[in-house]
Amino acid sequence: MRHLLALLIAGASLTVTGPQAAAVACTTPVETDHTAIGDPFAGPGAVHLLSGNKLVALPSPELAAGDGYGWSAEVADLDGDRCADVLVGAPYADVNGARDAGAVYVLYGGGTRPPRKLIAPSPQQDAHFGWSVSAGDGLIAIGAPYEDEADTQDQGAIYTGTADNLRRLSQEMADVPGNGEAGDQYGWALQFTRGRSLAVGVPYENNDGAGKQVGEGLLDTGSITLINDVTAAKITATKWEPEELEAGSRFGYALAYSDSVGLAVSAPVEGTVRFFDAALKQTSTLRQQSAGALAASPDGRLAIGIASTGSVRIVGPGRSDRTLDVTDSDGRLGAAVAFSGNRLVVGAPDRGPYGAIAVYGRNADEEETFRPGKGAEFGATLS
Amino acid sequence: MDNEGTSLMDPTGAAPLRPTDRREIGPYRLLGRLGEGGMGTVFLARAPTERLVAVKVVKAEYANQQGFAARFHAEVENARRVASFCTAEVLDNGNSDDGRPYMVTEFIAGTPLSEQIAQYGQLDPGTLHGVALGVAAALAAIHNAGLVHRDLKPANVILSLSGPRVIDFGIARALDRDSGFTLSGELLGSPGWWAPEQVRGIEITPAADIFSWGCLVAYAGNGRHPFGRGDVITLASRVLNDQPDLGALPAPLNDLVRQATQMDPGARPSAQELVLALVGGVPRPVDPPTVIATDVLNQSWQPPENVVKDTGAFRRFSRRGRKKAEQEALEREFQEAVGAQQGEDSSPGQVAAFQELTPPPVVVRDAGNAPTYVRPEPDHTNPAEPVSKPRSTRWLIAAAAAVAALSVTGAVLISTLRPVASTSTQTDPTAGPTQVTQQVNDVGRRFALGPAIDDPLLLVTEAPQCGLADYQGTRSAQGQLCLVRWTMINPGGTIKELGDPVVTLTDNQGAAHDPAPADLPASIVPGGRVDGVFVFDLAPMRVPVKLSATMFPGGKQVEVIL
Repeated sequence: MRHLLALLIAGASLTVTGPQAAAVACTTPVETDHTAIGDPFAGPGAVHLLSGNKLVALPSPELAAGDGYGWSAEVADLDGDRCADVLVGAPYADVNGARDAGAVYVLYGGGTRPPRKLIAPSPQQDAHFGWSVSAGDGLIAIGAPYEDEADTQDQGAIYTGTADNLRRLSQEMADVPGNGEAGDQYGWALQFTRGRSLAVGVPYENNDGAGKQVGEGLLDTGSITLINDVTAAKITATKWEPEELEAGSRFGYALAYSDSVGLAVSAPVEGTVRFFDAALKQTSTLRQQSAGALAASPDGRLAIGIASTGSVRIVGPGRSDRTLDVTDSDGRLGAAVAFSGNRLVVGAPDRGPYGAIAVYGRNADEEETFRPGKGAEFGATLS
Repeated sequence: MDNEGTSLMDPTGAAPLRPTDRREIGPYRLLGRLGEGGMGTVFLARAPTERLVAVKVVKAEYANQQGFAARFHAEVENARRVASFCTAEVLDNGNSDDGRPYMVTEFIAGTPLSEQIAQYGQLDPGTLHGVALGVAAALAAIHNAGLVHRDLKPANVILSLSGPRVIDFGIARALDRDSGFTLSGELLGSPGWWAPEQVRGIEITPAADIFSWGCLVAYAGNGRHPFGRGDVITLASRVLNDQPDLGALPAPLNDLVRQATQMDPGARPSAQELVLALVGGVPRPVDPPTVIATDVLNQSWQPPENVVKDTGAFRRFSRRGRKKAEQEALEREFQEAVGAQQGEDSSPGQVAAFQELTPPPVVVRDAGNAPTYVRPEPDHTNPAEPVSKPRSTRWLIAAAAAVAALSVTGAVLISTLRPVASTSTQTDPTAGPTQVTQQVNDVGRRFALGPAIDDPLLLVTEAPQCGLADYQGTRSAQGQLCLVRWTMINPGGTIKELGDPVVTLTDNQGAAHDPAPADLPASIVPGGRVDGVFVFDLAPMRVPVKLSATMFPGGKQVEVIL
């Protein structure tokens, strides 16, 4: 590093780009398991990072009261330097005078880049850009489910691409299947699946037949859309709505993906989790699970957070499953769940004065608890 | 003269022993009868240390109840925790030869307040203030030990040379849990001084003693009982239905007595608040951590003249049985102390050496905990120790020793403005908004305002901020404003109408408060967020404990522990 600096100072023109220049060891190497933990109501919001078994409070960018920083979070290597970076949604941030337009921050691991603030190209009041975030294959996706389009309120839109180049997609666009209807809240849940494919959960979509309807048919049944390649010039996508859904089911509320699990989609009010393959063909259904949160592991397990009962169910390969300790309904165990590699992290945001997370090794009987030095609902959000 | 006893006109007020009375109970030599009540008899006695004490012996019919003795002694153990400043200290307890439990307290020489008013009329303002303060301080000590007096009345307040002293607290009444009736059907206690909830027979809290304090101070200051005279039923009915006649009292007693006699127990001040109000709330940082009340009382206590005269006679009585040399040493020492205090020449006739001079308890306070009363020198069991220093110096030394022993941090009672919170949460009212305590509370916790997974949620995001004189145009009338900041989110897809949220704040004394009128939006849109503040006007020593809120018409009520 010193050598490099010396050269620069001497005026040698040396362009340093790309991964090969990063001789700096980062504190968040991609080989380690990382989980980001959001606490959106601790003041303007706060985010911690659990790297291996070390819990670190990440320095916050400049925030204003009530930003909700940490409402969503994702960990991924976004700049290719083999150091994990953190994406944080602050959907209540005011932007350029637009109240609650929302913003997303990129915190780069590696210590060479300053944090970056991403906003919608036209920040809109109450759009809540950053309500959901996902990352995959160097790309990011950001949901703004309360964005209005023309006079369609809360139609929702998503923004995907790279941090430098985000493109807006909504159901009103010709190539995106579906019609943009009021209250759809498109982009409520986002999940990159394989490669550049992105699943979009739309739990408030109404089952009202073709064409544009407002408040007709069965309300809030939900739907999902799988966009094949978010970077393609011409978007191709598949939309899927279960036919037998009852009103209010909210299919698409939570999403999770791993290659071995496939795409898991919850309909918490209906009480189901449906599994889909890469072509969005349904493979199986799990019933009687009111899943508020989902996470999928590389080794084929699905974690289901049922915050109302304070329990977490883990469904394994071959349908073996177990339920984690149900004695913590007060702590709201299961408000959020995440896998980092094969390590399961479960949020218990009401446990103790500040909240806590429980980390489970492969053998679900071992549990390690982490608590922050301060906070309000540490563990409400997990990456 | 060797056979001690009392004669009819005894200066201690004790009647002679009856022929059927025993002459001894345990190690105590009985000298006379001080009184008799439903539970037992109180005797004047001399301890093996030659000190005069009061021995209360339980009636045989009680003693014969199974388990009674054990409960009695357990209650006495509780009472021993009460610091004896302004009370009669509990010294001992045991069982007599014939199996009757007894307890032993200091004998306080002086005039009961009831007799004082009956004979001489209302108290002078100075003495009245001293009585109000001393009784409040006694109650603070009693309540701090977890007890309730239950029978505070003028007959239980002795005006002595050293200050007003509250005697006879809690034990007998505590034993009779159910109805306040004795086995034989008598009504225990004196309904004319009882709080309304006591008359009704519902749960007694320390606030009941505060009501009695108010009545007592009004009685002493006006020379008449606030609820008049009459039989038990008449008085009980008046307490429940009528406003007391509190007359006109010098400030600040006038206001305090009115607050103390409110029907709602939660609205009455605590004993600590009374003491603070009566000493003027001015901290004295220069002093070592002695009880401010002690200080003020010592400098300002003016016993009525008759008390001074009577205790002179008493002094002569108590001299009997003591070694002369020791007696004279005691007299001299007391003379110096009392003389210095009263600023006049003291003659033997005005001096009473009726008991050891004991240092007052020192109030010590660990950071963040309730104040504890500590006796610096438990030397009652060591009679041979010469009483060699003047009283004020002994207090300072004792206080200093207590400081060294207990590592007090800024421990002046009351001036620290920290009330004893009755729940497990304590928030420092002066420390500003983000006081996160280690105790269990609901700050930062999400409350679902409905059953659906995406129904609106409410959070109190930080600990309440108190101690403000005004906030955004609202001024405090009661002493301080407390702000409770909250956030509501609608994470779903349906707009929710707010209507008029119903919100109540409960403080550490159990009183309920409504918020100042606030401008709230009419509804919360899908995805919307409302950040608001509820403003409450509280008395200075109060601490917010719980917020109850129904944010939506017909919605779920949530209770947030603060």
